[in-house]
Amino acid sequence: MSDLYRSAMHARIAKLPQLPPDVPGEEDEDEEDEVADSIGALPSLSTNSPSSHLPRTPNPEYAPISGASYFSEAVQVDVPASKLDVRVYYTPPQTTDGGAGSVMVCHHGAGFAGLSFALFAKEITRMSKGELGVLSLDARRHGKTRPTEGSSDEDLSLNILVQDLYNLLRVVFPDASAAPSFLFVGHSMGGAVVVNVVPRLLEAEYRVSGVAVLDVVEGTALDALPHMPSILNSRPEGFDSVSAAIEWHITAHQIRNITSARVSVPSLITPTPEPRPRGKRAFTWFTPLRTTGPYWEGWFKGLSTAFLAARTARLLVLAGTDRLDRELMIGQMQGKFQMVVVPNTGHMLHEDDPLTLAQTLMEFWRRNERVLVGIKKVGDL
Amino acid sequence: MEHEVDGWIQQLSQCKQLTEADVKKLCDKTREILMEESNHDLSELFRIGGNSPDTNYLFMGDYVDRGYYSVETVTLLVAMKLRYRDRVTILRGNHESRQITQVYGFYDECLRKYGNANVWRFFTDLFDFLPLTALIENQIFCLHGGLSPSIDTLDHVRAIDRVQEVPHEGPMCDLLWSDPDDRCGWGISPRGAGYTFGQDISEAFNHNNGLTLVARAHQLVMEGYNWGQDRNVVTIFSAPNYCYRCGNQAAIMEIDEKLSYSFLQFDPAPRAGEPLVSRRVPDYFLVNYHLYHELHDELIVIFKQ
Repeated sequence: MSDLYRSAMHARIAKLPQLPPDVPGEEDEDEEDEVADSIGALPSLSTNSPSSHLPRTPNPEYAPISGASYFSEAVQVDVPASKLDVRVYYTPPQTTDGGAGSVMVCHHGAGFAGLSFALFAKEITRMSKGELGVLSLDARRHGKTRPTEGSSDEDLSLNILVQDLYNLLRVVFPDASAAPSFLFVGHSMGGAVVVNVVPRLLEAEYRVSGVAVLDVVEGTALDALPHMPSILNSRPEGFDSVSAAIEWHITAHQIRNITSARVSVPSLITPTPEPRPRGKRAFTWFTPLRTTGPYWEGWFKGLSTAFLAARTARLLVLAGTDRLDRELMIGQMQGKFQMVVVPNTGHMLHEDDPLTLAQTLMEFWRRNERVLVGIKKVGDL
Repeated sequence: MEHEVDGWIQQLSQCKQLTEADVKKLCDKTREILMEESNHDLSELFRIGGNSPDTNYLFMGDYVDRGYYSVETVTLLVAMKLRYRDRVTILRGNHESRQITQVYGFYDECLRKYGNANVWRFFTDLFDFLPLTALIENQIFCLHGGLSPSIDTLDHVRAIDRVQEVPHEGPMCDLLWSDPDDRCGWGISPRGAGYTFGQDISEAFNHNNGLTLVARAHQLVMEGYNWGQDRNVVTIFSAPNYCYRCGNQAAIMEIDEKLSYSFLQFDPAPRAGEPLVSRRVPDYFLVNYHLYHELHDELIVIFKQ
């Protein structure tokens, strides 16, 4: 990181609100340096990619972009109950009334990471003028979240992921009565995680103003599982460079937004350990999807029921067209949730069209968070 | 004109779409009728004991989207309106809107079947003229969705400037989007538009307006109809096995000259030509259709009686 960049970063961070002081973790010891370092650890690899290792010059069109400008903080949060050191990207809410405000909590899908929500988060901050905070995390075995010394982070089953999110939020916001109101957003696997964490947080007397699930429907997901092997076979095992990985996500239509891919893809790959076997590329997937296979069915089974039962406002956002399973179709036709289709997007709709999704979520939040005298909220008794 | 419309109905009953020019003609003519009727909106259209010995039909919205034959279905229904203008009333549902039809299929279907969006435009322009509510014998208040916190009296309903796209909020939106709820009072609707209303609300509305019943559609009910809120509200859903997968029965509400109600329940796809209803001709049918192909025959049967 250049000195200029570092000092610019310090200046910018100093103006922005920090994590609440009760957040434990290493950053407490030397917050500014830690924040700067951790943002430095964001994938701003364009300046230090070892181009000598590459068989061809990376295309600047696909150069990585740091996530630093999309959130006000990037921190590692020690979550002892999960034995994890969790990477969290956070822009705290700016409240004027002295209240705790609202925070949108984003959980990515399998194989992706917290920066998948980077462009979306920035739109939310802009549209809400900072009133609505955004927190995005890297799940275990994803991005920059690591197991603490000597523990295993292997298990990706749904209840473990739900427990992780619950534990993280209890660390960041230990006092339920002083915590912000949460608005959950989960993509694909993350949708299942956020839907299932809602009842646990409500039980612990946290406030939840809504849950939004992005492009996952139980019936469709389970029907797709038999096709997963061929989908996985079409994915490259590795890449020559970070830029090549970004380029693949664009050319293979995994992500339809170059800027978003340049921010989000770098945390999906990792340098292949040395000594590198012959034929292996310089970078490999950090979370090979194939290794998550045993958990797929468990993520999605029961999702529709859990979604409809969540005692908070419910939003389902789908890409392209309306594809509901029977249970959700009945639920929708009984008026149990809101559904929005974002046109001209693929599965990564939050990356493909962050602006439209942010508008949708802002409306959802305003509608369900506003206080109207004599009018009950969704989920109130 | 009648002969031409009969020809259209004949063609549509075989699930064959009309030409774009005919659809335009149909929509233009029907709009004229709707504009004439708008003077006595909400009203006396359905006076029992009037001159007509025939059965009247009231459709409560949602004629398009999510089926494979929305174009044929809505064209047929509008042709029925044009042909039997005094016997047929078509209310507006929340799907009779430009925005919703672009998400749930009708727009795409028009593009697919006509190669351009003209037919979609003819119909959605016509939808702006559909009445939102109907009142049977000053007793039964009929509409697609439900009540609105902005509406206390029928005069409030009459005052709505309704010839427009369905707005995102406000009384017109609520009438097309709201649902009854087990909780008392008003609630934010989980749908993202409209409100939920409790039994206290519907009781007060009926009492204050001298009504006995709010009859509405909008929600799938597994038996096809459902009494709620101590019989202040009834929900009628007339699309069997909705979207080919929900496994629900459908129902039609029949109202006789004494304003007593009965329900005809039915399952998907009865054989063509088999009469849907008993011989006795009821005075009204209240129908809510996301109409599908298999229903075309039933409609024809109804109208041939």
